[in-house]
Amino acid sequence: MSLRTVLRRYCPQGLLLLLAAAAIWSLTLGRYPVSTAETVRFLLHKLFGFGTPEAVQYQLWHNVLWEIRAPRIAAAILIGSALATSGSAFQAMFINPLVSPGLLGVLPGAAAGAALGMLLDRGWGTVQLCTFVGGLAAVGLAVSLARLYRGDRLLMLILGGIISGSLFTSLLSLLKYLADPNDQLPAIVYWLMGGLSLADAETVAMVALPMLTGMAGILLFAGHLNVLSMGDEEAGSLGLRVRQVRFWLVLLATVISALTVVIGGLIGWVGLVIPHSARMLVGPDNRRLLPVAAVLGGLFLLTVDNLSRLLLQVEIPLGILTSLLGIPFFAMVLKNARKGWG
Amino acid sequence: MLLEARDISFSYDDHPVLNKVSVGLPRGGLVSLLGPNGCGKTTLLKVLLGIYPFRGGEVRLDNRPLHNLSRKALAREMAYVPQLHRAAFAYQVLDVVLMGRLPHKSFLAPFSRRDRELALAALERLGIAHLRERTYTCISGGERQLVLIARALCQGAHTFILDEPVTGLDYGNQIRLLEQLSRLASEGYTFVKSTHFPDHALWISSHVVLLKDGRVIAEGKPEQVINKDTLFHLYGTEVDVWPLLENFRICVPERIRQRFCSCHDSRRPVHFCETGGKQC
Repeated sequence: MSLRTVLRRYCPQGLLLLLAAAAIWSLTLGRYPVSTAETVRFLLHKLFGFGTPEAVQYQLWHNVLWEIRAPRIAAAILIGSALATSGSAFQAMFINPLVSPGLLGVLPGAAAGAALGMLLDRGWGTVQLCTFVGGLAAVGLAVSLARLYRGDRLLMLILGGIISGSLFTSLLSLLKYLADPNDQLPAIVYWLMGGLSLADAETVAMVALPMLTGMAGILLFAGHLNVLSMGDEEAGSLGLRVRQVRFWLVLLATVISALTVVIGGLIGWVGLVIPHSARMLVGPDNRRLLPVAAVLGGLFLLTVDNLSRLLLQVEIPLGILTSLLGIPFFAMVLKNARKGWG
Repeated sequence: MLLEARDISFSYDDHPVLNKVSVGLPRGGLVSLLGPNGCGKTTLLKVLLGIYPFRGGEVRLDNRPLHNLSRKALAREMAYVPQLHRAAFAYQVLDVVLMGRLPHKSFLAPFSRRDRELALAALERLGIAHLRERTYTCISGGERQLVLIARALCQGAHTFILDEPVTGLDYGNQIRLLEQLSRLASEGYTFVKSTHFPDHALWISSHVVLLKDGRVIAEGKPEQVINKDTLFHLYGTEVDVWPLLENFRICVPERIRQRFCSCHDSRRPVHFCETGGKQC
C-alpha cells in the first residue's frame, strides 16, 4: 500500500484520535496547574462515573476544567470545524479553490451586526442575536442581488457577495464612527480581532446543536458537492436539482459561519487554508474531504487558541494568530495550484 | 421520432438565438448539428437537454413533453457530454464515472457495489479501464472525453448529447473518438452532436441538421443535405463535396483546391484531371 492510500484510508480516524488527545491535553493547560493524570481521572468520573475523587478537590477541578476551560476548548473546535466545513463546501460549490466561507458576505454582515448590537447596549444576548441576523442578512442580500440579474449564476452570486460584503463593511465603519470612543469602539475593535475569552458554557451550549446540525447537513450533501463542482449544466444533466441543492448548502454554510462570529468574532483564514490542507491529505472527493477538513479545522483552531492564551502574558487575539499562521502556509500551498489542486 | 423540438425560440436578454426551430431526430444513429460560430448550436443542444428554458414551442422525448419529466427521470434517459473542459478538482477517473449513477440512487444512499461495477464496465466498454485510478485532471483531452462518454453510458441513458466532442483533440484521437461513437450508435444508442467538421458529418452521421442564424436551413441524410450550396450558405466559402468512393464523400474547399489545380471544372477529383494536378 502506498503512503497515499494509507493516508486516505486512515486519515479521518487518526485525526479524530489526535483531536481527542489534543482536547484532553488542552484541558491541562493554563494558569492553575492540573496534571494530565488528574484531568483524565476527573473526566472518567465526570463522563462515565468511574472512581471516587475527593470532594473538595473534585469541586475545584470541576470549576477549572469543566466550567472554565472545557467551554473554550469546545468553542475552538466548533468554530474551526464549522469554518473548514463551510469553506470546503463553498470551494466545491463555486468550483474555485480560492474561495473562503465569507464569499457571500456572511462575515462582514455578522461583524456589522455585532457592532450594531454593541451600540444598542442592551446586553450580550442582543449582540449575539444582532451578529447572527447580520450574517444572514448579508448573504440574503447577496443572493437577492444575484437573482435580479441574468447570466451565469455562480458569477452573479459572487458579484452579489462582493456588493453585499462592501455594503456591510461600510456600515461597520459607520457604526464604528458613531460608537463611543471610550468604551464601545475598543469593544468593537477587539471583538473583530476574534477571540474566545467570552466563550462561556452558556453560549457554547446554545450554539453547539445548530452548528453540529449544520455541519452534519453539509456532510450529507458531500456527494452532491462533487457533482456541483463539475458545473451547473453538467450537474443538472446528471439529475441534480442544482438551485435547490445550492440553496440548502448556502443556507447551512451561512448559519454555521454566522454562529462562529457569535462565539468568537472574526476568525479569518481557517476556512481557506484548512480545506486546502485536507485536500492535500485525502484528495478532493468531498465525501472524504469534508469530514477530514472538519476534524482538521477543529484541531488547528484548538492549537492556535492554546497558543493565543499561553504564548504571552496577555492573550493574543485569535484572528490575528490564524492570519499570521495561515498566510505563510497558504503561500506555500499555492505551489500546488497548477496540479489541479491535489 | 425520438427527440422532437417544435417551434423553439430562445433569446439571451434581447438577443434572439433560436427562432422557431423545429427538428425531429430519429431513434438510433448519429445526428450531426452543423453551423457557423454563434448560430445557436450549443443553445439548441441545451434546449434539447432541458437545461435552458425556452419560449413557446415544445420539446418531446419519446413523445413525452420534456417539462413533464423530473430532472432525475430525464437524466436516466438522456446524458450530456460537455465540451472538453478542465475540472477544477483532481477527482479520480472512477469517481467521475460514478457520478453517472446519481440519478439512480436516493438522496442519502451511498454508491453501491453494483454502481462501481457499472462504472467499471462503462470504462471497459470504451477500452479505458486502465485509467480508473488515474487523476481526471492529469489525463489527456482525448481520454477525458472518453471518460465523460463512459459516465454517460454509466448513467444508463440511451440518448447522448455531445457538444463538439472532437474539438481540442489531436487528429488521431478525433478519428478514434468518431469510431467509438459510430460503434456505439450501431449498438442502438442515439447520439446528437454539434461539430465544425462537415467531413465528420459525412463520415459517420445518419442524419444532419444545418443551423444558421437560429434557424434550421436543411435537415436530412448527410449525402442529401451536405452539398456545395448548403455549405456556402452556412460558411460563406465555396466548398465542393466530391465522391471518393461510392458512399464516401469528402469536402474540398475550392480556394485551397485552386492552389494545386486551377481546373475550372471543380467537379473532377484530382486523379481525373488531365494534367495530373499540375497547372492546366
